[in-house]
Amino acid sequence: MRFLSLFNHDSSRIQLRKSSGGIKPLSNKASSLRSRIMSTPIPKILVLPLLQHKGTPAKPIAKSGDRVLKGQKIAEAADASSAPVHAPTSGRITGIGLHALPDEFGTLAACITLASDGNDQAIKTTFTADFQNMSESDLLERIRDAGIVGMGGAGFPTYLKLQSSNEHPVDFLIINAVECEPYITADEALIREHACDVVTGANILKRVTGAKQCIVAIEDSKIDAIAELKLAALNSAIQIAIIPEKYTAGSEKQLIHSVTGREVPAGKYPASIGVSLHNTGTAFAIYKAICEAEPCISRITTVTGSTLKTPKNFHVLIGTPIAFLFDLCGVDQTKLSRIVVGGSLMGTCLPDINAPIIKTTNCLIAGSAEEFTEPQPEQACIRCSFCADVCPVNLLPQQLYASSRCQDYQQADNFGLFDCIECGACAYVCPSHIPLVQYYRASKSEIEKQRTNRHNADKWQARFQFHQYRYKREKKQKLLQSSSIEHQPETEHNKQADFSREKARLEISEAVARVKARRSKLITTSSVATEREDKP
Amino acid sequence: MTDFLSILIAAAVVNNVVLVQFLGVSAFYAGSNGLKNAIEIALLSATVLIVASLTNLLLTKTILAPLNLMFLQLICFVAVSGSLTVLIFQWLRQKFPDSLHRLHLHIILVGGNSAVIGISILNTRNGLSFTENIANSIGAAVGFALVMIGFAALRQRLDTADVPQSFRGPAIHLISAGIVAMCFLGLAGLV
Amino acid sequence: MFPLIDTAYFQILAFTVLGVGIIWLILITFRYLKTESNKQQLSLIDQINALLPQTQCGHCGHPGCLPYARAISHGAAINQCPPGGKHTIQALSILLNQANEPLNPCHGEHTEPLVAVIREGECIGCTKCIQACPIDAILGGTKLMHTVIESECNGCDLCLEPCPVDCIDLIPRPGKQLRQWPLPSHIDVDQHNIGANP
Repeated sequence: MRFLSLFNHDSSRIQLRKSSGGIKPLSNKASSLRSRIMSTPIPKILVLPLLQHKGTPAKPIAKSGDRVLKGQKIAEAADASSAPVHAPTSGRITGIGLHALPDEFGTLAACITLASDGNDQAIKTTFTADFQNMSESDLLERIRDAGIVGMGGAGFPTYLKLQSSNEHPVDFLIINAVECEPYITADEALIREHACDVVTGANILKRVTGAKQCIVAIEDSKIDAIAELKLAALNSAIQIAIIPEKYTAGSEKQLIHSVTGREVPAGKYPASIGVSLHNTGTAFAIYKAICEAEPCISRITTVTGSTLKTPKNFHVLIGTPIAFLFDLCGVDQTKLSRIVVGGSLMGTCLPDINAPIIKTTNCLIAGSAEEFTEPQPEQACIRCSFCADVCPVNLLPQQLYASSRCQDYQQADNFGLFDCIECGACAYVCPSHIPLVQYYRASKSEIEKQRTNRHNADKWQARFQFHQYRYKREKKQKLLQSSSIEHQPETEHNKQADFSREKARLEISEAVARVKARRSKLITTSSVATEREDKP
Repeated sequence: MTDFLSILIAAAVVNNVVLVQFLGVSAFYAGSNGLKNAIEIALLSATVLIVASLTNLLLTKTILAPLNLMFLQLICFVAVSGSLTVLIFQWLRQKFPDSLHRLHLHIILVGGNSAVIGISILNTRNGLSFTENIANSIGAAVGFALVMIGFAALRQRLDTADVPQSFRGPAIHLISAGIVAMCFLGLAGLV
Repeated sequence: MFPLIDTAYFQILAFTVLGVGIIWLILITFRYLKTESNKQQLSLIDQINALLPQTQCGHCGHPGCLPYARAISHGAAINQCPPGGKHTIQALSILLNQANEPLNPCHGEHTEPLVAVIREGECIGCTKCIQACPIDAILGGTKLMHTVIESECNGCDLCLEPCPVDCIDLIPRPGKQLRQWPLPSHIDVDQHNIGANP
């Protein structure tokens, strides 16, 4: 497909490169795009976790029992890598406690529970829709205050991302509308209906980052969205890059390489090479925050799956319980086999249906047993190298698998385990049905645990060495002192002191003997015991 | 020159000292523990092999043959190789005190290496001249290093592979070495 | 073979190239050995000590991690450290080129991270636990209350024995434990079949 066609908006300056690897699964997107985005009614209870992003949890500033208005800040950022939380609707805070998060383990985390009153009364704000006259630092402050995080699923606080891009000059600002993963259509629906707002958001981002070029990258199969986008970007300096449909073409590092030709170094962020990449939903949230003074309190989420009567995209309030959404859609409970948060390749199973929608929940799939079949039994690796052919990061999945299975973590790290983006393409193509991504995730968890242990061991070793030094120093001081008071006559007072010391020693030795008898450990510690008792 | 090159290639690849002539297999197996180990032992063995074979040739030509003491050949070669190994190791240890740790293990592997002594004996048995001797020793050293380093990488792969319980460890290593030896037989028509 | 190879010029050239090649190989060897020796090589004891968990608990039978490292370098068994668990044993077996063994159960069991907690109502202020703690993680003074600094405690349980009123407990470290992804269930996590790869 030639990219220098008439349909491309000024794409002569964008030279697209083919991204390596990737697979072409069935996209399953048509069913959720048949209708327009639907707004949801306000649920009775909203659960707002304090940690909806990558970083430290927010600190609640509202107390239980407080009446809050829509858009009011109820938790502030704890530090630089945190993001505030706002009330999505008006109501009363009923508590701050533990609640299940929508992740694979059902982790319990601190959440603010809000009981809505149905009025949806918004907090009064003074806003200017004229972002052209605001300074960059004001815009940045507004974005930070609005609690915007990466809405594509990563959840990195946008303020932090923009701040780090301020330290390096930004050559490319890329808005990621590729959305290559099957089932997810949130960004496509957003662009279809709100293309102008997304373009405004992109322009705001362009101003804040000071980028030289702004590119919106979109998949070639999203025809309606591309038409709307072209119309909206007609009179702006925004270029549109049309990426051939392929899974993992929309992954951050792969997209940056396709569009700009630059590679993000391992372990570093795109800001270090002068690229700033943001999701479409993030750009829309920024538009809302700056031009409509609405903080991050809602998002577009795709609710799909073959068990639903009407799969579609919803404009949901953050904190809506997932069970509420499914009731709206009409789930066929007899066919429902599992609920997946995220797309079908990188998503995770949801254990608790009462978990809330958070800022990074872009898709929910209510899958039937035919849609998500039971995994076939794992067989031996036949060295076919299909996995290496499809890996978008050009790793060696076979070697990573062999090292992970033997728990040879050093070797796994040498093969670039931490560069793996866990896209699942290798597991998708494996003819032996080996759950490769599970091995990689287990190895990554284990390596990180070992790193923590190493860090702790170093800390304790330093403390132990200081303890030994301190002990020696005190001994030396005592020696000096005792040599100066050696020749004091033995008085009555000292005799009494001796007597009580002996009694105390007796009590202590009895207690110690009791403890020793109770703990039946075979420590051959003649040296340990005497060393401990030698201390005064 | 043709002869020189052909003897070199033959000794390195066609008549590989480890996989075709089956000399020095113990050092080859013990040394291919890991890549770093393999490189160290390969380099040390290569040095000792070349120096020892030249010294042994000198010894044969000047002392053993004229005085009709060829029956002492084996003992003399062993003594010469052993002492040369120790001398070379001492000198290297003086020069690089911190690097060659666990050298005492390597001394046995290199000094008692049957490849060293075997090449020396084969040289005298085949009646090679001086340049041919050099070619043979260099070829054998290169072949030894090549196979050992390659086998170290192979062992790394074997150790992470899904080998049946009864074959794990030396069993699968030796089977793989045998298969690689068969591959080397395929190079017989080269020279 | 080819008539070209037997000419004198070619022979001289070839031998020169060969000689240069051999000299280059020898120089490479020396360079390699020199860089190896220039690296700050820790002594074997320090290398072993770097792999131990530094809890200084004494469960191995030696009064601290450095004495145990010293003993290992003289040939002691490597499977005596319960806080280190099987990962420490595996790392030691790779470093020392020894066989991997399971943890010796008579030295204790490998547990999740523990911390000591003093039941402050029963504490008599005798400072025995403060003296026992190898990393100064207990705060307190004579006849004053003692408390364990949770972030610094390594769960070595050396403070439990000297306490005359037995008011110290070992509890699992509180706080959010990161859930770990497990390997597929058919993998036997205790069996390691990695060769020693220095």
